[in-house]
Amino acid sequence: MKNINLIIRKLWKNKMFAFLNIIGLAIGISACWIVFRIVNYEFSFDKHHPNQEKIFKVFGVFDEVSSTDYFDGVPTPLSRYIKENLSTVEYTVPINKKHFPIISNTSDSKDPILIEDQQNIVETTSDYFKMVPYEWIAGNQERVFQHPNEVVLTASRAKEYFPNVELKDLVGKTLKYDTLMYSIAGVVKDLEHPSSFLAKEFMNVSSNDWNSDNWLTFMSDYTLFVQLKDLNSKSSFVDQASKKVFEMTNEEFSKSDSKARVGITALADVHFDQNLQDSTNIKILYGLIGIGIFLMLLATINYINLTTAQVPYRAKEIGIRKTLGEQPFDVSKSFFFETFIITAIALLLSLPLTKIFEKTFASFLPANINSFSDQWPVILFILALLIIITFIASIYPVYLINKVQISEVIKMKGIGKLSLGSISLRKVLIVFQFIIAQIFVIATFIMGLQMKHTMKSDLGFNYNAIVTFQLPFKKHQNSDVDPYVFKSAVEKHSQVEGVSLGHFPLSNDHWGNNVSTASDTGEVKVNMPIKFIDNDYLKVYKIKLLAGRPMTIADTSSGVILNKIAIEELGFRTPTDAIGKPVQTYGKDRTITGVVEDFNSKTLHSEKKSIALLTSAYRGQLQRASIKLKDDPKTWKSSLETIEKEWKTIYPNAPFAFEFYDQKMRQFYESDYKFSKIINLSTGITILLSCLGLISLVTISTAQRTKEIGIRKVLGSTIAGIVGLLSKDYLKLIFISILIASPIAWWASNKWLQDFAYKIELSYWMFLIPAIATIIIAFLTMGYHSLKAAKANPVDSLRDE
Amino acid sequence: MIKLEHIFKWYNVGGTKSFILKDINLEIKEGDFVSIMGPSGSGKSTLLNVIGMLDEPDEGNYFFMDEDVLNMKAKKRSQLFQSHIGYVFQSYHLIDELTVYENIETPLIYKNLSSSERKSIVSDLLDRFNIVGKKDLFPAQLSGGQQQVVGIARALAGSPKLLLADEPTGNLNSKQGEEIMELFKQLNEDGVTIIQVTHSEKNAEYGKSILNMLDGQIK
Repeated sequence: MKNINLIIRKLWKNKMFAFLNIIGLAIGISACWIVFRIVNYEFSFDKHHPNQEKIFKVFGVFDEVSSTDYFDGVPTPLSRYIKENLSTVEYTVPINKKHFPIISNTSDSKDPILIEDQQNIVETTSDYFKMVPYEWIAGNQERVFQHPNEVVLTASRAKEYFPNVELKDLVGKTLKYDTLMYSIAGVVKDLEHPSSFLAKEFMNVSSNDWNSDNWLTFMSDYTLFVQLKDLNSKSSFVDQASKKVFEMTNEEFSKSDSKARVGITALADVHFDQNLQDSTNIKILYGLIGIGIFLMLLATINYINLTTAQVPYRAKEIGIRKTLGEQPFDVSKSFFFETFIITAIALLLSLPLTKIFEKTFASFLPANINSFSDQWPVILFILALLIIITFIASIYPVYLINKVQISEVIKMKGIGKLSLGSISLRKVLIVFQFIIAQIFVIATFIMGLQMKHTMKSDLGFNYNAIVTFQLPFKKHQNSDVDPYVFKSAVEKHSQVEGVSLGHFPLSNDHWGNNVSTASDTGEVKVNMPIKFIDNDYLKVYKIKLLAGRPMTIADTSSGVILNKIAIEELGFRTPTDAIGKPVQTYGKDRTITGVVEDFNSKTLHSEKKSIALLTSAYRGQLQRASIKLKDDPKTWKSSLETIEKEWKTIYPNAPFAFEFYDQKMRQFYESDYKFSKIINLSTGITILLSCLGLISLVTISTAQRTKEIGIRKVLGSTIAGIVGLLSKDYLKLIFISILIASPIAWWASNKWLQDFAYKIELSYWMFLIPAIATIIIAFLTMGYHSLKAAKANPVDSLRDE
Repeated sequence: MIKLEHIFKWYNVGGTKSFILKDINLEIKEGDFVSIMGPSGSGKSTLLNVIGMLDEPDEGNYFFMDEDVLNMKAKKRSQLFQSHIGYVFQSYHLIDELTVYENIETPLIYKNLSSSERKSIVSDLLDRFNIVGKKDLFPAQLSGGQQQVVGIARALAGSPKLLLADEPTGNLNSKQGEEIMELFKQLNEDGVTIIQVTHSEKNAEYGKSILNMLDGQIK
């Protein structure tokens, strides 16, 4: 207790150093803390699952002529086939996602509970509960799914639907899913550890699905897990299942030179398998770990720098203590203890810091991270971190302190005369800090440029002032109203420049099929996405028509518009050549009525590709509306109010929800955007930490050179001359850091940019500007201290006793 | 108690040896009060440091209480000195972050005394030197003379047999200096061996014997 008291007194005496030290460490600890939470969460997926080595996810594999595609979904009848024919399989667990627009608990007629768009509802078999162990709060696992229309709820869902009923009393109660009544067969505890089994409500596989013989459709809502009896039967299982899938699909798929089979991934790997749904990119985690380690290293280096800078000041005390009988071991021990206390204070400070970060940047954290307790791993990690930091941060200062020569210290008159340890190690550390900082600065700069570039690059269509709407698809929200009713209602207003129905241009909304045409050598078949549009689409999005005419309603059954890439792939020489030529799609003959300029139809990570535009009379294919407003943003508010009025009369039960196209664009880049935000934040922290390190180094070196500065001033040097003298050495170090950092940053940026179809060209100025920025920041940091030293009265520094 | 034989200490300056101590032979008995005098740079402080083992000679033999100090393991040596020697410095060298009480207590902590033992020793010393009222003050809040009194109290805390003082009155005015010297005299009469380095003839007179040094040699 006495020691702690003393340490606090010392910290209070050197408030600035203490503050820099603690804040630096606190930032480093907070970063590590959050990274650890994320990494721990992601890596603990499925790790607590019994028999996990025998459980596999089954997915579709398609061997095309020159490539292999993976798809996380299986044909519906596969589960039944496996269950009935493959004896190597212990449990067959299809997981079929179901969507119910409305779930209601009407038992309380006064205050019914209505929940819309509930996620994580699946149909499965009773095998599910044998494979995934749940604790049953109510109901009996053995008797589950013996009757039709039964549902098993997790405790969290049960509480949502029946807030006032004991979980044990829920069996037999009913819930209304859309129009169907389901009775509750059981309530299970939510899984305690992160798991790939995300579902919260379970129903029996519908007999339609179970008895289906549609082998040709692979849908992402139909996934499959199996638990094998014996690991040795792994390959025979894949062979047998693949054989069946191939047999059942070959006749149809061979037409497009494709072969279907199945693949499996062990449960332990499911979470990180990029071919599967809901998976996590393990590379991002490694990136995060890297950032965490770097920030921690920087903070520790900072501590070392700041503390060694303090050693000469403390040498006197240590010398005295040694004359009073302190042993070297005691010196080291008390120093380790002091570091430990400072780190512990930093840890306390990082508690609120972490909370603030988690609140501010909630979207960076995995969605479910807070629904699982990670208290113990986090506590253990923090303790380990505390010890590691204490150890690493203390070693060098302790080494220096033990080198203190008593007779020198006792006689020492000014601090400047004590030369302890070489300053070169600290210089190396500073260079290291600035290398990391500079890499981050360059990365931030280049990412910023690339994000801007992608937002501005020529997409082939214009989205300025376009607002987008998703028209209702639920019955009670009047989904049966013809979209054209809404279109014509909005169109008649003068604030609206144009309205178009159909799939948005840059989005994953599209259908897909082959477009084929006859040629000299036979048939040319090209698989391309198909977007359904209406007659105003090209006008609203300003997509350039190269030949032919725009879409008309009359084209519904006979016309098709293709883009330039598509007609080239189909073998036409020029757009004009293609007009009027017959093609086939969806087994139907159509005539090419128009050719448009290429535009980005999926994402900006992919290049412009072939696309076919069809029009449709079918409501479900035209459920999206794009409304072009006037270019002047000031008019938008009143325009939207007008549109809202129309919406309310046509869809009185549906919420009026819209989104500007450029917001949409941003979402498209959400992961890039998030990543660049993380990098921005890290850059701020690394720069801050590096400058703290720089301050410490400059402070100590000016203290050591006080006498020199005094003499120079007496001899007539100007203040500017002194500042230059003091700064020169450090600017040199920063210059070296920049030289080392730039090629590394160039390599890393190049790698990152490879994923973009439309990327900026790296150029020397992208490295020059960050370099200048860093030098300016560093100079300003040092400037204050140098100036203070330069302005000091030489009489004070030259006086001896 | 102390026996120095042919003690040499030198620095290498540009290839030639520059001697600070040159063939020092010296014997000091228990209960002695020795004043070392001499001009600046004559090696007085270095000699004192060698006696207190704050500095090692380059050549020679040193026996402290009949033990060969220079051939002793560092740990044992430091234990030997810790229990028998107290130091008093010209610029007091109190630890700035510790109160008067804690400063005096520090050497006792290193001797692993229990906290109650420490408390009684420190209280005795505070009483003896009349500084009870100042025990919670920090060194910066005391005058130079008061600081030196604390310094002496601290040096005596471990009840040493030998007190080494390097210009103990150098930073004090003459009245304060006199008081300190009276204190030393009193201590010596109580049985503590004292070696002091001083510039002042007057202070040197308090000692039982005077050693004059010049250019690293005893004259």
